[in-house]
This record gives sequence, C-alpha cells and structure tokens, in this order.
Amino acid sequence: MNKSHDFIDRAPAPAAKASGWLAKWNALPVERRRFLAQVLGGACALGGAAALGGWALKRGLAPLSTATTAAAAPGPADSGKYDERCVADARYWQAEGEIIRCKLCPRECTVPRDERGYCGARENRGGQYKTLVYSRPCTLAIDPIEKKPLFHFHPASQAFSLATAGCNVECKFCQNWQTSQMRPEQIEYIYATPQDIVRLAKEKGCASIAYTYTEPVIFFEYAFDTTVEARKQGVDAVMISNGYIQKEPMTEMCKHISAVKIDLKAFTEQFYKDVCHGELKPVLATLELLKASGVWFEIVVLIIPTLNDGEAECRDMCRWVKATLGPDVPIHFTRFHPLYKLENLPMTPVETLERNYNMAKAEGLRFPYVGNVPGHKGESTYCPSCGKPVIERYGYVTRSNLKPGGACPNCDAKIPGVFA
Amino acid sequence: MDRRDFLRTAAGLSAAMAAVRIGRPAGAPPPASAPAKRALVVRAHDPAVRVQGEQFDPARLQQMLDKALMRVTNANDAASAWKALFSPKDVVGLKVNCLAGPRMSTHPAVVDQIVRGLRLAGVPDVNIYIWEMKSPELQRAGFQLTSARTGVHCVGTDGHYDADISNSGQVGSCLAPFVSHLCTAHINVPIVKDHLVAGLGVGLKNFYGAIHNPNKYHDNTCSPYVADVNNFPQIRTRLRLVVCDALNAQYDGGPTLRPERLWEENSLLLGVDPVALDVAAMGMIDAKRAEAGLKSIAESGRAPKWLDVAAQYGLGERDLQRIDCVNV
Repeated sequence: MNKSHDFIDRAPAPAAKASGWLAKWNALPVERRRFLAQVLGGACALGGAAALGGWALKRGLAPLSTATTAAAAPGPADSGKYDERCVADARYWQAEGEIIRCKLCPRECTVPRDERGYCGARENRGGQYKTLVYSRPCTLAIDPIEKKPLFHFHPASQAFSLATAGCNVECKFCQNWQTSQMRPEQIEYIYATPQDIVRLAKEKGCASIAYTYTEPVIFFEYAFDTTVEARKQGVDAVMISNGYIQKEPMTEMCKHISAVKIDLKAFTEQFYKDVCHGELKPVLATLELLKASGVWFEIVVLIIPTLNDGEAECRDMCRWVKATLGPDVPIHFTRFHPLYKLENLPMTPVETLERNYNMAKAEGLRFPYVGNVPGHKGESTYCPSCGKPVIERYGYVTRSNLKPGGACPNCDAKIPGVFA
Repeated sequence: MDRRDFLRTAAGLSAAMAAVRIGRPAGAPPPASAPAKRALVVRAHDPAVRVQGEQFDPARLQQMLDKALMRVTNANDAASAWKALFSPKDVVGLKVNCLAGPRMSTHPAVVDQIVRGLRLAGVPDVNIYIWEMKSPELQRAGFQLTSARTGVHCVGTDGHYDADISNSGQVGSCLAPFVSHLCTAHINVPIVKDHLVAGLGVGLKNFYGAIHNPNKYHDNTCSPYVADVNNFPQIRTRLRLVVCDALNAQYDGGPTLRPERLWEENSLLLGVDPVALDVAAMGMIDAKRAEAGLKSIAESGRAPKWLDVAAQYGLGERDLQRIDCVNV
C-alpha cells in the first residue's frame, strides 16, 4: 500500500538521473549548493536547471520549444535577470494615482511602482500592471484527475497539470509552499506558452489540463489563454483553486473552463484570517457563482485537528452547501498531514473524517467522500438511488461501472457530473 | 534640512552622551533591554560632499563617516571606532537598498567608505559581503558585482534562500544566506525615503530584503511584520551598526524614485539603535513634507505602527523624548 502522503495533490519534485559533476553537485546539501552558487556565480546554478531539464526530458516534455533550453539554462532563479518573455499585461486592475489597485482577487492589493502584490506574481512597472508568470510554469506533471480531486469529471482520465509560482493566500498547512510561497524568480521554471501546453497535453493523451498545486487565480492570464486555446483544440481545462477571486474574472473563466475544484478551507472567518490570511465570504460567493454558471465543481475540505474539525462547523457547512449549492455537489473531507507551519499538529484521525462523511449524508448531501485515506470505502461513489458502488476507487486506481453518460448500471439513475 | 532642524527633532538635546551604546556581540541583549540608556542618532552633514550631481568627494565622505562613528562609539580616532564594533574574525554583511535605482539607492561611494572602515578594524576583504535581493538592482545603482575568492563580495541573493522556513512573530520566511549563516555581523546601509505602503522606508524596512517573501507582508502598513523581520535572532543579535545614506532623501511617493520629491540632504545618519534611527529619519521626512505643504506620514494614514512593535520587542527606542539626535 502506498503511504497516504502520496495521495496528496502535491507537486512532484523534479528528479533527474545525474552523473559526474552533476551527481556530486546534487549530492551536496541544498544550502551548500546555494552558497556555492552564490559565491561562484551562475555556473553552479546550471545544476538546478539541468535537473529540471533532465526531469522534463525524462518525461518527454522537452524541448517545449527552441526557447525552452535557453529558459531552463539560468537555473533556479534568473541569475538576477528576469526572463522578460514571461512578463505580460495583467488584467483586472485600476490605477489610483501613483498606486495600482489589483482587482483580480478580493485582497485588492494596492501596489506602488516597482512593488508586487501579495501573490508575488504581479508587479507595478512604471504604472502598468504586469503578470510575471505568463508561460512560466514551475511544475508540469501528468496526474490522474482523481488526484485533484475531481471524482465526477471524466473518471480515470489523465490531467496535464501545471502551476506557476505564487499564491494569493498563505495557508499554514500548504503542501506546496516551496512553489506557492515563492516569487517566480526564486524557483526553477520552463518557458511554455499556452500553445505549448495544449500541444503537450494532446501528445500525452491527457483529457484535460489542470491548473493546480499553487493557485491558478494568480496566473489568471496564463490559465485563461491556455483554457481558450485548449477548448479550441478539444481539450478540457480544470481549475483547482481556493476560490479567492473576484466575480468578474471568475465569470469570464466560467465561460471556458470545464470543471473547478474549490478548497473550502473551513467554515469560519476566523480560520481564514488566522490560518490562511484570507477570507471566507468571497470563497462562498465564488461557489454560488459556480452554481449559477453551470460549470461542474466539487468541494474539498481539509480537516485539521483542533482547527476546523468541530462538529458544529461541519454541520453548518453541510447545511449551507445543501441549501445554497444543492445536494449533488461532491464534498471531499480530506486528511491533513503535518506540513509547513503546522508540523506541530497530528494527522487527522480517520474517525473524524468518517464522522464528517456521515454527517454530510445525514444532512442530505448525496456525494460526500473521505480523502487521503487510500482504500477507505468513502473514496468510492455510490448510487444515491440504489446504493450500489458506481465508481470504485483505491487511491488512484479507479474503476468506473457507469453506463455511457453517467447512469447507474444497476438502476439507471443519473449520476451528476461530466462523464463520457 | 539644516543643523537647527535636525536638532529640533531631538527632545533632550542637553542629555549627557555618556550612555552611548555600541555594537553588541552575537547573543548579547538587545538595545532596549537597557532602558536607562538614551538612544543616540548622529548626523554628519556636509554640503560640500557633493561635487556635482551624484558625484561625491571621497575624502569628505570619509571624514563624515569617521566623525559620526567616533561620536557613536565615543572613540578618539577612526580606527578605534571601527574596532569598537568589529573584529578581524567577523564576517560582515552590508545590506544596501537599491530597489529604486540611481539617486534613490545606497551610493557605492558610501559603501566604499564603510569597507575602508572595516579594513581599519582588520576585517579581511573576503569577509565582507555587500548584498541586496537582486543583482540587477545592485548594478543599476552603480555597484560592480564581485564574487572573487580574495576580495570584497558584492552579490544579489537572486533566489538563493534557505531551504527551510524560519519564523519570527507573524513572519515565516526563508532567509537570505547572508543573514541565516554567512555573516556574524550586519551593517544596515539604507536610504531615507517615504513609503506609500509602509509609511517609512529606511533602516528596519530594509531588512525585508532578507526574506524570500516580502510581498506577503505589506498589509496593515507592514505592521507588525517589519518588526518581526528585524526580530529574527539572526538579525537582532548581529546588527552592529546602521549607516544610513542620506545624501539624497525622498519625502513622498516612495519606494520608487520620484525626482521631484527628492532633496539633496548631503548627510549620513549613524546609530546602533535601529528603531531610534528610523524615528529620527521619519522626523526629517515629516519636516520636509511640512515644508512642501503635505500632511505628515501619520496624518496620511500610513503611520508605521511597526515602530511601536519593534520597541515592544526591545529592538530600540521609539520615544523621541529618549533619543538624542546629534550633529557632528
């Protein structure tokens, strides 16, 4: 059995088979490597780039374009000089005197010249707002769609997954903080245009492109253009998001995106403020917007011991979901593992997840799930009419028994979702 | 700003100067743990230091720096002053501020004089790191990048931060290696400028350049985050001196350069109390804002509340009544 840690939607670490000097370099402690890279200049930084390049080659992802090699060469950062190919006009902002007010997410950062927004990926350059992560993914991988998790969207299909650096919140339990909490120039990347991404997804036989691992809101322009391009070429795009986005950009995205997973971090403003540096209310507004738009969406709630695992909170959440979004929205109660700034807390007891699962059912939600517990019966989908398992899962091993179009093989009841 | 203006910012001009603090070795208690002592900020001012435009007379700069440091340390000569703060075994990091480019960045000419001073203290060149977040910012400000094995280093962090998070108050960040493990002593070499978000961009704010994620800490006028960053043990116990380059200063519109709001102050501000130095610098900025018919920083809704937090942490003196601002 796989360790349950492996079932988190964490970005894969670049892994290259190195030899010679590169192997010796990679064997050094990270800090030592960084120190040497600092003192010896750009030469050593090539090691990091080579690792990413090797990783990409291993997965058949390079060369993305003739420019890719050049982009990868500078290494973990841009050796100080930013790759201007990845700078593009940002959308959703307004000038307020000398300051730019970002209108992409509810934080509405006010950004003086030469400074960046909270996300670290958008910068005021001479009074013009720019995204710094256009065509600049720091992570590329092919994942099962169940890893996102999206359980009612083309089960057992593959998602071409990508992320850029940055995030518009800072969750103390972030499992991808090494990318989400970094500025773009601080981590490795590959230059890949929206066209490159769609081409690669098709070449790899992926049914969808997933914006995931970090927060797609902050690379909105890149994700949006990729989504439009993907739809033109018959590839779906899905967004794995915290939902902390303003109405206007989300409405635009909903016109093109195929599915969305929202991380509902908790159901109290206090949790959002203290643990995520965010707000609950705008996330609920995004969920309502999704409901109104008709885009397929699912909800994930990471249950963290002592912080958001109360019964009353779970009940309130379930009631709100049923009343506002309806009983058919899948809600995944997933297991927390100690990470980042919450290493002091234990893993979530399975019993707590099961309690929430049962509570959701009792409140009338028809598709609750238990997540990050491979082999648990709560991973599978059951027909709400006859109770038979219609999609069986064990970790990422998925067997769909659904009839074409998503009907139960036993009673022909229609299972909500997007099914071939 | 003339001599009288600067003196006016001090509340207790007649106070005895005997209680001057000098740099603390690593592990020593922070400044405010000795509440009986008054803080000192020394201003060395010389209009003739500016030869033309952004060209400065090295001899006069040297004189300004040495005189101010002698006042800070109560030493009788320059070498003794530098030796009072630094030893040949120290690895000294000079955190400059180059975000805004030419004219509103730390001047290389000032840093040259600090390096000269460190040599007087016997610090080997190879033990001196001039650093900033990004190499291009250093270059744009006129610094020449160097990473030779035998000379002074001048380098940008350029993304090479610690792999792990360090925590201080509400700040959790990967630290620049100069702060986390390379340097045994820091000299903060900031500039004087108004900051549209933080209120003030002088010494304490300059150490935002030591963390990988400063963008996360700009709400609530950067409070308490600026104080939290400076309260990292790797900073608070190793900060020996602040040499604030006030050759130019900007009273509004920072952190970026606004030439029409810049004035040629032709001064250096020195102190070992980073909070007191920021308070004194804010007084200078507010005085200039008043001249220009602008509201003070606080009245503009940008009061740097983090100064109060920094004082609570024991990082230095916030109360202007307890800061001696002295001209030399």
